[in-house]
Amino acid sequence: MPDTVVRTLATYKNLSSRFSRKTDDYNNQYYKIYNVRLSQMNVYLLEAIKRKWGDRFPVCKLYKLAEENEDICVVIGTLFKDQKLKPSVLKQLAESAQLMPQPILNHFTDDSDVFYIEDELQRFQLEGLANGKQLVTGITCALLGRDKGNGKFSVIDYTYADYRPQIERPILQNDMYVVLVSGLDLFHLEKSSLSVRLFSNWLSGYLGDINGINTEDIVRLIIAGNSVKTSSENEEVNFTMNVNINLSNDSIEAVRTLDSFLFELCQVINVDLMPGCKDPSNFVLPQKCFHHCLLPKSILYKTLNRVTNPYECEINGVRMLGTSGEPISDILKYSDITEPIEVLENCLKWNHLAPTAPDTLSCYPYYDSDPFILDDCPHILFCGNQEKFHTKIVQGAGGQNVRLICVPEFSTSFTACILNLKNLDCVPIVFNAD
Amino acid sequence: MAKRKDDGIHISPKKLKTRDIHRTPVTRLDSTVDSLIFQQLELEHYVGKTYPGMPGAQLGLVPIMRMFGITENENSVCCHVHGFTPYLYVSLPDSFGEEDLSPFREKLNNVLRRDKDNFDSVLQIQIVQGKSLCDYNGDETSKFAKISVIQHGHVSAVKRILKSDRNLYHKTKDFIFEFFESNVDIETRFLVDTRIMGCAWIELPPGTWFMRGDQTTFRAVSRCQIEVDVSFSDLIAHKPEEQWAKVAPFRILSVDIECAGRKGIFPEPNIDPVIQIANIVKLHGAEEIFERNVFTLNTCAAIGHAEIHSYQKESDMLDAWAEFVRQLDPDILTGYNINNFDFPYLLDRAKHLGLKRFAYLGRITESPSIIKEVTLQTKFGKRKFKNINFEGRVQYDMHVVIKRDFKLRSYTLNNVSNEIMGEQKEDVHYSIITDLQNGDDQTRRRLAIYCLKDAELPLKLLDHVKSLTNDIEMARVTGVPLTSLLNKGEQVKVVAQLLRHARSAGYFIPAHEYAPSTDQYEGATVLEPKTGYYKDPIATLDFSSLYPSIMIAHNLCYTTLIRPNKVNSFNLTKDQITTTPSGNHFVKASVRKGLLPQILEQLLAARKKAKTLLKDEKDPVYQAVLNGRQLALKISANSVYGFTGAQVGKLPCLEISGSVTAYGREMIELTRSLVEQEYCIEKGHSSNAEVIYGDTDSVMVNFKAKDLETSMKLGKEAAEVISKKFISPIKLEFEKVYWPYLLINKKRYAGLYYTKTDKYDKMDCKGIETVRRDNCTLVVDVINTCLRTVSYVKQTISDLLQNNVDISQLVITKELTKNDEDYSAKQAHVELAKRLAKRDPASRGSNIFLENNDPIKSIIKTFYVLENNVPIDCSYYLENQLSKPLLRILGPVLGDNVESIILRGEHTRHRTKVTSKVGALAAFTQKKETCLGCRTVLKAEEEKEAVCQYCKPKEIDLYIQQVNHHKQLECRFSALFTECQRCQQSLHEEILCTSRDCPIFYIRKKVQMELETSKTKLCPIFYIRKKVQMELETSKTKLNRFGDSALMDEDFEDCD
Repeated sequence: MPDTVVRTLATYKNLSSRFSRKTDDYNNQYYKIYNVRLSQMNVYLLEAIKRKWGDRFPVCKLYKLAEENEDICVVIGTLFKDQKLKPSVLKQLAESAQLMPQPILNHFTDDSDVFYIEDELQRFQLEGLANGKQLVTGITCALLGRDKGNGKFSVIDYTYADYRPQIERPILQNDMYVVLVSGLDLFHLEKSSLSVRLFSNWLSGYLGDINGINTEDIVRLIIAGNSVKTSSENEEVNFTMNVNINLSNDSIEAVRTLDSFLFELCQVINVDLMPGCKDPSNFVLPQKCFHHCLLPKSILYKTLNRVTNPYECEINGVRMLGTSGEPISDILKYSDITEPIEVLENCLKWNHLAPTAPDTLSCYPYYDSDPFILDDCPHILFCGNQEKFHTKIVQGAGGQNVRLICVPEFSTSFTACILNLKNLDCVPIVFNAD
Repeated sequence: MAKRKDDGIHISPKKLKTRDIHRTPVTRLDSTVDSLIFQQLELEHYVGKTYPGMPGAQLGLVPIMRMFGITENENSVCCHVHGFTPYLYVSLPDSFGEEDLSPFREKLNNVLRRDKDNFDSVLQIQIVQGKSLCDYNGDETSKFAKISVIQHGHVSAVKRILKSDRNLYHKTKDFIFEFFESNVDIETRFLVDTRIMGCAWIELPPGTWFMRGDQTTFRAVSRCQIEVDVSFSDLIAHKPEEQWAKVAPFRILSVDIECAGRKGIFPEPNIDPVIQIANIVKLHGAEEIFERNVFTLNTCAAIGHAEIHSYQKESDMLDAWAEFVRQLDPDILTGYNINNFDFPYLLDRAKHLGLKRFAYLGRITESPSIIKEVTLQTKFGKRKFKNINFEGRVQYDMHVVIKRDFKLRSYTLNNVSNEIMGEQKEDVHYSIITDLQNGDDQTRRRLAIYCLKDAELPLKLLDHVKSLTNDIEMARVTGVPLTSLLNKGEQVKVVAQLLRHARSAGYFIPAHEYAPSTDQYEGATVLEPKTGYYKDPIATLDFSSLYPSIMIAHNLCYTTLIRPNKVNSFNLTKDQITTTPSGNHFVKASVRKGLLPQILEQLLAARKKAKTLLKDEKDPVYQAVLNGRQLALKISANSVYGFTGAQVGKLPCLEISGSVTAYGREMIELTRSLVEQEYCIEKGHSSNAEVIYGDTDSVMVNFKAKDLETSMKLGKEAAEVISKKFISPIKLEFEKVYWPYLLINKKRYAGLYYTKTDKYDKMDCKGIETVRRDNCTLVVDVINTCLRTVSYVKQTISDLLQNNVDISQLVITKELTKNDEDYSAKQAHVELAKRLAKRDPASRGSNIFLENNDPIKSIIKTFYVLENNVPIDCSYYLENQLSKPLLRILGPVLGDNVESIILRGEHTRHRTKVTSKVGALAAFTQKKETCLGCRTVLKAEEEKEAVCQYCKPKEIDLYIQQVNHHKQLECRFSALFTECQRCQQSLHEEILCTSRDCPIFYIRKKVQMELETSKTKLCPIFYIRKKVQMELETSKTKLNRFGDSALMDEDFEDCD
């Protein structure tokens, strides 16, 4: 073995600028983001309509439905799923006055859920939406059907915007790996310290090659959120007037541990650090990158790349896009889809990274653009903090090939995902100390 | 909002969705072979010419009853009932005989004729035998004269003459007449005599009725489809049972109007135009909405589910709307506050615009609707309201209904729908309404949708609380017209029942002259509570229908009362007389069965029957009817006692009410001693039972059992054993167990309420601040919650002192029930409420107490307080609002040192002073950046930093603290704003709602402000919304002071 091992180099471009913002303005309301989303998606949907139905049916604005004499037509709008189990601030406020303990739910679908389609001006209740159980609020879609009067629209068929075109993937001569982890949960390091150690040693090359993977061919590590914590005990949100500044700061130790951990790794590899919903970053999506004052040691290395959540980049010409998992978990709660990987696939079809934002997933009140719309199709779409590792290749009608990856929580699964940029193969490696 | 482009050509006109709103046409009716059957809804009388062939006076103008209703086929009916003559009864001297009738009548007529026309006003005088309702006077009947007069007005004229003119007739010289039933209005009189109950089905048999039309001698005068004449003696009223229990499909029209007001001024009909009128029509009992439309001034974009009628001129719109009402011909008009706002406004506006035909909204073709101001004395206090005549249409204002049936903190539609249905409603402030109207057809559409929702909500309320069904049943049970349930007091119901029963039993009801009395009787008893906190289950034994049962059991009635001086007059033995604990004497049922006991027995029996039927009934519509009926029966039975005790009432009899309460007291005492005698160690029980409290009709027993089952078992057993000691139908029932139980004082207690052993039903709080209305919501919330935890109390106090509470919770509402003059000392909130009432008559005054201001000035708009950080008088809230209820409630739990624990603990030390953005001092202060860690003023060179040099090592901690706070705010921000977006049922339109009753409103605002601060700090749903926004701003700045987090991101690009 030579004395020095040279790590393979890869070109890198951070494409996340749309997820960061210079100033925050909370004087905006959320209706603007729906309007922006609808107008941006309208363009894509018109293409999809053309692909699916040609010119057979007229496209009609919802508010015109009542005026025009069209029988069957296509309407474009945003779906709204009215769910009686959906948690509501109003209900919470009303219940806070009562003493009855309310059942705590983690899944909010019910047979009584009702769908509406809505555009800038009008809302119609939907009838006959066959795949309703798979859908959630915020999806923009086109529906074929007829106005039944009385504010109801009967659906015959539907289409989504579907996969956007994909840039060509360069042909790589050599293997080139990107490692993805999430949910390190350094706050509870006692459960996983040995595994974390193993993982870090492996990346540093101390463990040699595993599963035929040359460690020096690993070009990047992406940490997809929740490095500090994966769950928070007393973070119950209440909606009274008071916001108390919580003076206890139990996560400081974990932040320091993270700093040390990164300090080691950054000496040997490029690290992209994404925040997750439990990390000390802001709450709404997109989350801002970790603040430099939190990582005083590792910040000195240029290899530490603090990024936003969601995060998009191009490594050696391969486009990667992903989140720390919040949009996927949220969709799972409000639909009857059971597999996160399926949600990821649907997001591509819906052409939207986080449709439930802002309805049930907090997001910044954007007013001039919706950064969660996919303008082009990535080669890799990942999400962090899932229960299990899962991966799949999906193909779009336009020849798009997309590798979907669900990155499991490291603290419980001790698993990292290794992605080969050359052939998009993805395998898990388990760092189980036992 | 971007104006939509007109894409393409408008080829076709709007889809014609207009449905026919006319009633179904009448199938041919032949009065000689067909019966006419309809359900009666409205009743009134008018004076008109006699109809040939009808009984009663044949000459001159006579009173004619007019009934409105609809048939089963939904055809509207106007029925003129002829021949009913008003009358009164007077007592007569014994010497007065049949031969005196004619001359006596002559004399009377002569006197009356002086000021009237040439007709005989007194039609007939008959001698009838009967008894006065009041007092037992033996079984002898005495002589009464029934004086029938031509018009109702003559009743009081006759009374006046007989009272004043002692020399009218020689045999009655110096005789003091007593008058009976002279104060009964003609409608009630008519209903009683014809045995028609309210909302009853009426049948006119073939051959007895005559159709009116355009050709007949008597022309049709109404807009009803069927208009007929009938004699009062021919109509048949069906009892509301079996097939006649049904309710016809009444047309209910709910209306809401919007006016374009000027900034800050409540709309005035002489200036501000009506811009939209939304109408929702529903048939009673139907699921679907029959018609939904909105009349708009200026164009309005299409709405999916409603029809739009647009007009360029306001007068055209109003005329078209009036025509719509006439065509629709609704039976019931509803809405929210329509009596005092919508209808008067429309009428005044139409008058102002000079619209001649507009006011003809009733069913009588030539009778315009006119607004009259009425003052009414009810048990809720004196109220002024406007009365408008819509002949044949019932005005069923949900505002009045809710006020009558529910005790709420505020009666705005928003709060009502929130508290009753748990639905929030978007509230668009009237200043925005004008802006929306002046926008384009899309903003007007927005307004129309809002207006439609406001019209639909009262209907939803009506369905939800089933008030119409219940009221119809109440009308049927008590026999009064539906309308009098809303605009008359409680007493008419009892009077009507008394009259009905008195008639058949041969009693006449004295016309009681109102005389202020100082007599007092002792109220219900309360056993001295043994206050404290009980960890054992406390069983509650209740007397079911206590007061009615007492009246029945002891035969207490007007007719059985013996005055003390007459106790020995009728040869009654001691066994035949009951002497009540209050020292009054009544004869026993064996001598004479009292009328009130009879009425009550019937009511209770009918209730039992309704309940049995209810159990077996499967059809939900009939279930609602039956449930409404049993409720109505229960309320009626209980109101009889109140009637006898109402000193300003129609016929008070304190001997009865006093006896009833005296019996009640005795029974409660007896129950206590029985329980304590029976359930003691000597009788083989494991411990001595203890009655810890007793109130009116219930006793709380501590059997000292350790578990629910035993307590319930003992409770049931005790109820059975003790019931046997009382006269039937008095019955003691075991109802519930409280466990644990907090007894604070008389009528103040709380506990978990169990009827089953496995799970408690609810938390029951009585008389504790949770339900009192003159406290602010904060008090309610705190008291409710602190029953669980003291730490919560401390936290809240701490929050209050640190200005960290929801400002909406600090609003104190008080309603003015008296006139201005009645408040001799002008309290601050009175003065304010008056001012506010001018602006928004529907609301109770909302007050907030601020620091160091005189109270009147302190009452500024809540919103202003929030936006300008005006300091709130925290000590006021702590000392005047929170402290007393808290001490009361926690006293029994925490013991003597409660005050020091709650009000002076560690948690009260930390206070936040808010710096007002307004006020004199604010102008002279200059803001200096301070260290976020230790708050020292930063040196000039450090100003860009977040912390001072000494706090630098703690920077991470401070940052994490701040970011966590910011996170919470952001989370609230998104939850609140999305909630409002959902509530307004549109994702793509801006939230305009400024509902002050919505708890979110304030929170939203606050969160927004806090976010601004936190951003610079985060916001609640409006106030909260706003506050979060502001705080986010703050939080944001603070975070920013740590430096831009994305610092130098670019530098790391392409790193290798």
